Amino acid sequence: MCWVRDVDEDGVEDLAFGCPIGLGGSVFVLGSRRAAKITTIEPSMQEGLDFGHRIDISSSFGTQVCAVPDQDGDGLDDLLVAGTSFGGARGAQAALSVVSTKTWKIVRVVVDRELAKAKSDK
Amino acid sequence: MKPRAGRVLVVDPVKWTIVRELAGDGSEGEFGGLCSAAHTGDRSYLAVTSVVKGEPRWLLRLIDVADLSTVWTDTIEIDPSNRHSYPNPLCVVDGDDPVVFLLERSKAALDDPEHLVLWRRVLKGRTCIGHLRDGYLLRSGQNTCPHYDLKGKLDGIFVSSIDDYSPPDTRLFFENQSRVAWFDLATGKSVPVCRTAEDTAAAGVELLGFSAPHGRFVGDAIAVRRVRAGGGQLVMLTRRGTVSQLEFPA
Repeated sequence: MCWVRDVDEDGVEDLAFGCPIGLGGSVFVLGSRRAAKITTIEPSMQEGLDFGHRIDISSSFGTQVCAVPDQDGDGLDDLLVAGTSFGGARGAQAALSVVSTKTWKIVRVVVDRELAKAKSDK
Repeated sequence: MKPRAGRVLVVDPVKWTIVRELAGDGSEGEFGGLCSAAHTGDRSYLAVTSVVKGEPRWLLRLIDVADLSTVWTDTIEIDPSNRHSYPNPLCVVDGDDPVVFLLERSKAALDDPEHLVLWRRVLKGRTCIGHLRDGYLLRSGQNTCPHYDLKGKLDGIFVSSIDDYSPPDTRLFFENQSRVAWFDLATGKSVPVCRTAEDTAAAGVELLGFSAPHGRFVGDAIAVRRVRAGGGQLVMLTRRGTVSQLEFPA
């Protein structure tokens, strides 16, 4: 759980927290002044998540969240989301995603490919 | 069950690649099972736990992130029956010095299931600074978050303990009970501030301490209280009790 930039531009930082349970996991973003939902980030609902390698970030998404300085060049602070994917031929993969706080799309992913490769080689 | 080795991965925030891996030696398992980071100026520290394979003890390391060197290592002796009760580290910076608070169970869970010990570890060594015992079973996990006053001084710690029990050889989970307590560093006393019992939700899975109101988020901390079916509540806490709850949808 962390404070994120003032997304709804009401003069107060807003709140993001993860729900890494249920199907895939998700991250909620709530406006602080009205305590109303701004958005829900669900990787399973995002298409085209191909960063040069096939990954599955849809399990335990939102295990941890953290606000970080701008990562995608739009001048706005972004959101770092940790998750772990279990199962499948690749085995367990730790995955770290950067989410744009402008579009709420995942713009970057780092995945523990070495661990995934070791699992699939066995 | 044989413990997995475990690793801590270091990511380059410019290239977005994994540039380093930290691991324990061959005698250790579950390296990085629990981590806590702290930052001050240009210094960063990371507290990392691991287990000693085949022995009833945990290791707690403080790592200087600048060169990934180990500043100190502490050994925590545990009762063999507490093998799966993970000690929870909280790394903060007090002045210029890194401090790690450690919440753990020192006695056998079966004999004394409601008891937690809070330790303070600095460069010189580790000292017990308090005990938490306020009537809740704890068989699953615990969580901590720091609270700073308006001047930025660490004045206490919110501590949650969660009972999410699965009997051996079953996949059944009984009711989740949880509590959140406030531990005052000035007095060394703990005060229960939030409880759930015989419920299907646990409060304190995530905690966030804060010192100034953020719109409708008032008080001293927020606890997430999730429901298995999805959704849950955000519980606003003060150092004296629960203020209010906000529902969030599944």
